[in-house]
Amino acid sequence: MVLLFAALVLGLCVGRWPQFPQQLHAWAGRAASAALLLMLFAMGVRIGADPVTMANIPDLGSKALLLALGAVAGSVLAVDAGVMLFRKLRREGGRS
Amino acid sequence: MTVCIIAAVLLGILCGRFIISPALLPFIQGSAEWFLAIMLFVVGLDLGRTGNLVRQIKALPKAVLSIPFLIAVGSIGGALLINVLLGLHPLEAAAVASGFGWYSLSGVLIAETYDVSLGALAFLANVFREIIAIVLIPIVAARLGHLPAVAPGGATTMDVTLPIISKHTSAQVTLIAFYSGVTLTLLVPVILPLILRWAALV
Repeated sequence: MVLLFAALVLGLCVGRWPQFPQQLHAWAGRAASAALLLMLFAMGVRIGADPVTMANIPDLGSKALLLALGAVAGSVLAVDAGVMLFRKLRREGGRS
Repeated sequence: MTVCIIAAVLLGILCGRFIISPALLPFIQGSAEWFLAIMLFVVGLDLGRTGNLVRQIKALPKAVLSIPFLIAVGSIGGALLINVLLGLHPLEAAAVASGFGWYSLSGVLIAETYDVSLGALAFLANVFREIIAIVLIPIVAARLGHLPAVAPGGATTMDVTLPIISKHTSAQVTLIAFYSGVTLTLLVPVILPLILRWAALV
């Protein structure tokens, strides 16, 4: 886990370096795409090699859809409530 | 790219099921962490280069800066409520939701460090979140307003769903959406391991 956070922070520091070569940045983008595909392949291997997960795939799909809907609805409602609260506070601030 | 992503996962599942020996699994698990590190390094690189955007974001109204945190709390809260029907451990439901749509990171992180089944669930749930966001952003923008339209995309509003937000809202909301996506992207590698560590203890 330390490795992952260190990689993110190192990337941020290198990215802020003004002399970072453009060509190297394009190459890094390609490396990231390859890493993403290899990483997802590796995850697929672990899923395929696990008989319990394989047997539960249909059940996982319906649970995943419900969790995604819950997360989306919760986030929209939270931002909507936040926006209403900001407006109310601004109106009250403007009146006093 | 989406086709390549789905193909990579399916090919991996087929190889894991029929070809690759179980003896190789620890090596594959170890290499996945390095691939993740490369990906996060490049995410950091992209973010580090957006110096001008940072100045524009700093000029936004202070209240707006809380939007990604509202999205984080709302996402986890919404998943916990739905979980009443599903019966997962609440911390596991929270872990799935705290991918905020970043399916590659959340799926792999959970599969590699906690549980393969939950990793598969997180991958699917966060893929679904991205698809739902693509469909829902124009509807939310029209019915509830521009700022709530930033919420469905979660971490994906810094890349995949940003063009849709840009098309259906204003330039300022697009900037807010980018800031929100970046903040949530930076939050995932912090919040998710914490939830998983807590879940492993109970």
